[in-house]
Amino acid sequence: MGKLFHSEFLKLRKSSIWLLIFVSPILSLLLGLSELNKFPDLEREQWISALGIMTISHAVLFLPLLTGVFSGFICRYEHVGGGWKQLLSLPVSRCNVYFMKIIIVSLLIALTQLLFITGLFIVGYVNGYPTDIPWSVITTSVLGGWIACLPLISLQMFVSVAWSSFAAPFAVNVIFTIPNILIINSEKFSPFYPWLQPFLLMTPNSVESFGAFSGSAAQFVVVFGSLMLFLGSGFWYFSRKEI
Amino acid sequence: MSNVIIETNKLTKTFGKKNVVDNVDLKVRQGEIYGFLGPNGAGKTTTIRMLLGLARPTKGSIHIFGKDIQQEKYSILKKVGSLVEYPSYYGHLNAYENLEAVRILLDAPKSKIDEVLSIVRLTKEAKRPVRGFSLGMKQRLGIATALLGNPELLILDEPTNGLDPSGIIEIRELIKSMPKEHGITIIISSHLLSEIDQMATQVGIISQGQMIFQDSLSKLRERSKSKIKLTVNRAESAWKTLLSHGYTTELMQKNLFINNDSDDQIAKIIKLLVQNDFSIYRAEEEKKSLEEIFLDLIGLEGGL
Repeated sequence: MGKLFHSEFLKLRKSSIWLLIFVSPILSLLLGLSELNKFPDLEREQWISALGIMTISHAVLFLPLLTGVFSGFICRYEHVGGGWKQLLSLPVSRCNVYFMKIIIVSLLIALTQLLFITGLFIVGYVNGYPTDIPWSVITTSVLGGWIACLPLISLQMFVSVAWSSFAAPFAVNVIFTIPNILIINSEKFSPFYPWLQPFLLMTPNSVESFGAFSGSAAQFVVVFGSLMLFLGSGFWYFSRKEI
Repeated sequence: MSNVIIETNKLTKTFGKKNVVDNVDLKVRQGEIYGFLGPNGAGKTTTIRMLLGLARPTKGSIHIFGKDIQQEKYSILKKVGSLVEYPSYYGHLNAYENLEAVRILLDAPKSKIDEVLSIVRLTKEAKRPVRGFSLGMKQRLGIATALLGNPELLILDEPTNGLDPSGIIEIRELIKSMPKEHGITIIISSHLLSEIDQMATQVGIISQGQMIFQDSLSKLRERSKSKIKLTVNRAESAWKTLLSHGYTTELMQKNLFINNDSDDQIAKIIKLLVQNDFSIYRAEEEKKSLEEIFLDLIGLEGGL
């Protein structure tokens, strides 16, 4: 596994896709600094309200889309140059190859999340927020968003491995992500839609919900259930795929 | 009998209803350069993909180094270098990084990269992105990749595709030298007999999924010996007359065919026929080239 990581990291580092980790955090930083993030009546919860505002731009569309873009690119350079057959005729296990691809994308999403909080801290510093930073709220928000991305990464990895075109997996991703804008308004359906979970789990409730995930039990069933389903079917497909 | 490196038993691969590879019994022994020959679409690449575990056989088994590929894939693949169909590369990496990405997985020493680069003469191009390489350079990079892990078995699918004449000669010499210097066994596929002819010691000819010839190249050459064809007026009685004097000839379509072993014997046969009042219309030499034998074997509909 270590060797695979090393090799995958080399391939990733030399491509420019990892630069995309900066896009969404920078946009949410700008949003956080803008006039939209001025609520005089929320003096005591400045950190939380800033986090909530920035989450809207970051997690409704960008985060789900990024899972597809990263998965697509990480498979693309294998598809284009015939990398799969070279890689899989080396003494490496298919399961590990697949798992490593998912780990790499998960790490890219994790870096995006870290940059996102860095943005939040910059907003806080510039606007002079109080120094008692609500760490647990921020941590659960960022971590929850990351966990909610894992099923999406698994599905996108599955379709990216299956289809050698880059456009098809991306289209799948967009088709599932765009409805977020509508479903976000439905209290009934929103907990069950996997593509919306990164947003729901990142949105802080208030200081009172201290540290606890804002999600309901249904949401966790949805997140972990879809993770198991997508991960399992992807593994099953890839271990059988004829190269 | 020397060690058998690759042995397949009734290897079959079915796509839809068609047997793309049909009951192939491949046998490659240590130190051989095995030429795997067949027209396009005969099943060469499919067979090779199964040898590397990239595709699953529908039926039959594969043993490499005496181990079953289904059960001990990793320990087999550790000792195998391969190049399948067209070279694999990562366009955004340079040649050195491409090799590095594979070297890490093989746990080979770093010095090996420079070594294989110089073997395929890409040392000067090592820092250029592979995206800009010509097909021939990518092909050489592919061969370098195959050599990285100090393989005991090299599986090369059409390795001289896209190489210029001097490149072909270089690669050919390289391939020929490897069994002698390192005891490597090589299986090399091609649709060109002339290419196999200049490298291989053993040949397997596959056509429409079936192995139709598998033996040493010299056995194949034997079939190309010339024969003397005699056209006479009463072929059948001429054949009997010759037989009664102890000369075996072949009677085919009212022509007599004699093995072209010695001039003396031909002269005696003709003399005998003349003395027995046969009219000899023609006496001519019929020679088959290797290419013709190959075409005969695969049937002309196979095409080249």
